[in-house]
Amino acid sequence: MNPEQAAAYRQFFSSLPSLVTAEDLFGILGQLQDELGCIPRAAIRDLAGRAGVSETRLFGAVTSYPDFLLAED
Amino acid sequence: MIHEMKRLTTRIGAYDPLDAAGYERLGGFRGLRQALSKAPADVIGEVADAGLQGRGGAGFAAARKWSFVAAQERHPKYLICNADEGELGTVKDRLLLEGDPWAVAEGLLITAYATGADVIIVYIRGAYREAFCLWKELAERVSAELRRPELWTAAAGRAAPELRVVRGRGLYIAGEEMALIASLAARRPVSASKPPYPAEKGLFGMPTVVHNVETVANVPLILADGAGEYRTVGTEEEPGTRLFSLSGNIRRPGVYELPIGSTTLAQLIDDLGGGTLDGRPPKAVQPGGGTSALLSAAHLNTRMSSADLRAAGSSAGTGGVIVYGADRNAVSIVDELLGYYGGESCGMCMPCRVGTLKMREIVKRLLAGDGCAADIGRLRAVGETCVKASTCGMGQSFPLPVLSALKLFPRDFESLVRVPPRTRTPDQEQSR
Amino acid sequence: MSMETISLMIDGRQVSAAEGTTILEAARTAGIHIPHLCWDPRVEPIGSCRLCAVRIEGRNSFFQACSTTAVHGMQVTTEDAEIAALRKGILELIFADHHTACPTCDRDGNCKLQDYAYRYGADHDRFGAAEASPIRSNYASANYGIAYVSEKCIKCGLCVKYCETVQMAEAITLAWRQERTAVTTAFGVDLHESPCELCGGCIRVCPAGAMLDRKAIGKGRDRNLNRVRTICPYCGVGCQMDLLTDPVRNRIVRVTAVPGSPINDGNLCVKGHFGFDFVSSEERLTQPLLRKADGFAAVTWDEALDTIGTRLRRIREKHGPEGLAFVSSCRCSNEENYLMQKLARAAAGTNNVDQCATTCHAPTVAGLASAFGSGAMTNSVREIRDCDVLFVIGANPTEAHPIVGLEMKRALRRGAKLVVCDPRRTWLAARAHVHIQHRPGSDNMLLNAMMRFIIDEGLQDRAFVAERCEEFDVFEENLRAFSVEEAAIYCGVKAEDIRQAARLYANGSPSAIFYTLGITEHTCGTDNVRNLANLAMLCGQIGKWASGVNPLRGQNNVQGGCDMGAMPHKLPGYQNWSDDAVRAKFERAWDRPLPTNPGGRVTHFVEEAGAGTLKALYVMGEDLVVSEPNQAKVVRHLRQLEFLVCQDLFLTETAKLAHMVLPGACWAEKDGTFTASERRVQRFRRAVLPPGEAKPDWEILCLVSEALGYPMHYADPSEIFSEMARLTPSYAGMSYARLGDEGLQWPCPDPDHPGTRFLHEGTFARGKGKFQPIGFQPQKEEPDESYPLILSTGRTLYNYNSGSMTRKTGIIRQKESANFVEIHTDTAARYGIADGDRVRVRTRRGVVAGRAVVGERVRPDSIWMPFHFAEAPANAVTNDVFDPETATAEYKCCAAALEKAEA
Repeated sequence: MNPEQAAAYRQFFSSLPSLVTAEDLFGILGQLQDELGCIPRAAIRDLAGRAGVSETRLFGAVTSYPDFLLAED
Repeated sequence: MIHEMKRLTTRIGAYDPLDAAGYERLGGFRGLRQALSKAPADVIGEVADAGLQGRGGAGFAAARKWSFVAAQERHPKYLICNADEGELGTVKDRLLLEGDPWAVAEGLLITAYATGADVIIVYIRGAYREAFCLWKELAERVSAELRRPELWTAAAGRAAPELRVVRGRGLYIAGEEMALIASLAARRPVSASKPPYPAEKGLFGMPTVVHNVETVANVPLILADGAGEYRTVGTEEEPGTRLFSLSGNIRRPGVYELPIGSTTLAQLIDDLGGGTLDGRPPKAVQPGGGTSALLSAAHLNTRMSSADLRAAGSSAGTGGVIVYGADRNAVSIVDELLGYYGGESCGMCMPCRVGTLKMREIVKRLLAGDGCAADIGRLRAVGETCVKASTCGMGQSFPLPVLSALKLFPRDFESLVRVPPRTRTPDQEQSR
Repeated sequence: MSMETISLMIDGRQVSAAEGTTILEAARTAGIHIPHLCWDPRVEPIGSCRLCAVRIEGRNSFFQACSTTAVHGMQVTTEDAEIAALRKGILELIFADHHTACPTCDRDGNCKLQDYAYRYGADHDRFGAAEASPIRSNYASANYGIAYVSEKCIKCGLCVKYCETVQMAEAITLAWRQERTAVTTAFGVDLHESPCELCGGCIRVCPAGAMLDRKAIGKGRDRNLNRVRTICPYCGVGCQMDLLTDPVRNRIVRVTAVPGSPINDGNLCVKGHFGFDFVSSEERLTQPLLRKADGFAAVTWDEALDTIGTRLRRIREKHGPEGLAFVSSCRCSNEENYLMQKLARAAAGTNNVDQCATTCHAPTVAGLASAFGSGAMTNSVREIRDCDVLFVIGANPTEAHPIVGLEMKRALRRGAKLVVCDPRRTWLAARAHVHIQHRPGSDNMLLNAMMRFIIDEGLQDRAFVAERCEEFDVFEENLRAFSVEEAAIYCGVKAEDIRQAARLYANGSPSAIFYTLGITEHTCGTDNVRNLANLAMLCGQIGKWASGVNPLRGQNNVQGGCDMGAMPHKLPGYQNWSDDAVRAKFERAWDRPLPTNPGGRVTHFVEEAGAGTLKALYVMGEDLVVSEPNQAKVVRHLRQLEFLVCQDLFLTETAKLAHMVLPGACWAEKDGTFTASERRVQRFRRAVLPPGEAKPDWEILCLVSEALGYPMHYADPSEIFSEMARLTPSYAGMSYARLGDEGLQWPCPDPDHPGTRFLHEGTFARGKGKFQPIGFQPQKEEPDESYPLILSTGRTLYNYNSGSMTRKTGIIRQKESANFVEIHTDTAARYGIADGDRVRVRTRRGVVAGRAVVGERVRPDSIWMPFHFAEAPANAVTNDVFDPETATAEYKCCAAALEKAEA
């Protein structure tokens, strides 16, 4: 993840509602991918924490999609 | 000479897809109004009388799904519109999504009313970017329309369902019912053994109905004009029209709407599609999308209904008719298909996860000239195991084109087999 | 709970099954094995292996037996030629994805994949064998205990499902697709850095030999190993396990457990699965050691016993039997505890015998006995899943009693409601419907307020109180002084939470209370226990299936140690030695008069040693220096003893002070029985031989007794058990033959009695349940300006008590190697402490260092520290003030100061 992406991610995450449900996760991941061109590692942690699902599960899901690109922080 | 019969496609191009008023002027919302004037059970009854069957491939009776979900008391209930159209040779859903989205939306609202669904999710294939953008906007307009009392609140007696639009992420198998549900729950998008069925334990464990786009688009017609009128076309077992996506070696590819069972494959190919590119009869045709069994030219007079196609050894599937030219080798056809499906197993069940890879590997080996006679037997064995043992529709059907090709065109495979080294005589070795 | 029974035909046999059972389970109960790889009775069906395909009469396609519900009248064929051919075909595909390495696989000889391949004639090489990939590191490569061999993995997902739904750790997942599909942690982080709790479940469920015990690799294939069924030697839950041993090299190779075992259903925690490096540790004692001027010298057993006999006899002659005391061990067997108290009473002539229950659950024994007439867990672990409301107070089962924690997780998945009262935000607290994070030591304030509210709202069970209990009026009168609002202020919690907790508990159908040392380790410990008994009686939540009061015991045999009378005031089976008939029975059996001195507790022994009234102390399997409060004082006092004998596995901190050290055999090296928390008496069995000259403790005790002039002869522990059972009414119906693999739960008064699942059905052990008014008394040492925080101590998941066993295990050291102090974020900010900093905790008694763990787990006014680390002993700082009735120390709260240590 380059600095612009990192900044964009921080911006994105801070604009999320404080309560994210599991129902919203797939859509949010998609939005992230569309806006940043990748899904930062931090997003998996942050979203999992906020939606109360495990980081592990989310990682397993995200790696299944050809159109999701995971990026190291 | 046959002609199209436009029921589902009649409004395509006739109104601005975002314009609800335009839709209404062309007869839109009549079905919803009719539905709301009835009890939900009667709406289900009407759809049952119409004999509507799923258009996504499995052909399950729509009204039965509805009544399972309607009978569940737990909420929220989910209605998922499966618009993750990924089957090879199939583009009909895209046409509806982009050309007459209000009809799809109306069908969804009627379904939600009949089943008691609280949330409608439209899951659109990732590659259909335009459709996704259109539907994002449409979702807002639908909620606006639903604020008109006569279109929901006053009549339905409960809060309007929420319409969400979700975009797929390039994964074919996410179009499989159970994998789709897992995908929406942000779980690993893999299939699952049924039972339990989604009607009982679907998205987030709640009652869920999943429908293909085309299925839903039929619903307003049934409610607007009644089951009797709906049944005036199609066959007794399979009333209505279907959208056939015609592609491959064909002069005029496209989506054609025809009454079910009224037309033969040959008529579709020749009268509407203008025949093959070189005018010769095709080598083979897949009548129901990329996972349906191949039919040879000898089967071209088969009528296009589920029953007739099944009798011929294939299936109606998604209505994607793929035409392969006379110059094609059957092995290269299956190689092409496995090149796609071989990479699309969700990996949940072992036969399909390994079988897809192994079939692709064996066909590649044959084409490379490295195959042996036993490989043909292996190919058949993997295919048969997958058909019988796999969890979902994909695993059970992706080998069908291969198995049918082995049956219809055995010479194509055998001719690729080189003499295995250890059966060569010393003389042969020397003469090389 | 009653379920309809259905009947179906499987392979032409009539099979009955409970409604809702799957075909696979129905067949299994009838002894019909349907092949499967990805199915496990504890996990929801996955259906990935497809091997359990069966045919149902009248249906066209195959059905998966694992996920298809059996229906009344169904006719099932589990195998015919077509199914067999299909299974062969599936297996051949699986083998194409499984690096078949049977000759070098640890699982060889105990592998379903191998068995099915043979049974169906599947060719493992038909589609080309999967090759061993070049060594590629994965999430487990750096782990000391767990190895993952991805090329053997068949991606069935069973380990993942177990991790997600049974252990609920969610450490691993299947990730990626196609050829890349593999099990991994999120982002492939090292397992010990992940949420993994090292339960070993992935290893135990893996059907393909892909998940392995790293330390066991190459140490023996299943087919060459002996399998010894035994009981875990750690906490008091009493899990059954199988030790796989190499008989030639005399070592434990690995541990496993089988689903369906009585208490743990085949589940184990990190200690149970991995914690056995101590057995073959180089540090084990192998010879008796005698203290000489220049340190310890090895001596022969004869010399050792001679010395012990001579010196103990001399002390007894000079100072009377009161000059001698014996500390028994809750880690040792029932037989050994029985012998120890017999040794003290019959051979030495004193009631000075006690064990570690004093440091933990003595208030339970005293408190519950006074209310109900019997001081033990009233329900069974198996009942937990059927609880409607779990009321967990002062207990952290997912760490301290992990398998009970697992059953609670199972209850949660089945929709149980959870109330947790704990000053710490534990795993369960974080998932509780109500978490009351009350001030340490304010339990009675809280409980009285709850009960006052229950009575005010009329939520009590009037009929139960009237028919089954007595002395309600005094109790009710006492509650008038309490109110929810005042309690909320003192406890530092929301009043509405107290009300909600009370409502949930009172209305649950049924509710059960679970507690441990958070209740007992206070100066008011016995009162705390009595008040929980009050709460249960008030709401009629006792004496039923899944409803009662359940102390979770800390050591494998602390229940048995108490049952065996290894305590001053009770004989085996809690019989009173003041009762003439009882005395006569024992005097006849033992052929000695019983002593009549009141006897002391462990804590008294330490005091008396300091005062010079106690001259000799015989300690078996206890490390008093580490486990007693105010360590410096304990050492000072023990040094004053004329003669200290320690019988142990290791040269513990206490043994270092001893005059004589005797090498004991560990649990894996001897036979005997343990009594689990749920009163289940279970056999453990010898799996390996003891090192050097170490002997089973029961043999040592017999020899020592003989040296004291009171010979005791037993051929084996079963003879000790028989003698004990004859004298102990609650064990009277038990024998080794009856115990078998399942064990028996006391009371079991006669040989035909099936044992007792839950206590106090219909009537209490003492007749009527006794309400007792409990006032509130604050902790002995309140925080003040110099010591402004409340320090609590406790147990972690990974380590156990003094750490002498667990800390010798690599995988545990890797996960948790040093002491730490939990500090609230706000407190840490106030002290300028960051997560990971080194800090010092100071009390009036001493100072201990540790690494700061900053977060929201503790209250801002409190800090918390484990007690497992001898080099940073929590008990250097804990307060040596005691419950007046049981002499249990207030480990759970003392005033402390916190400071940042220089790096």
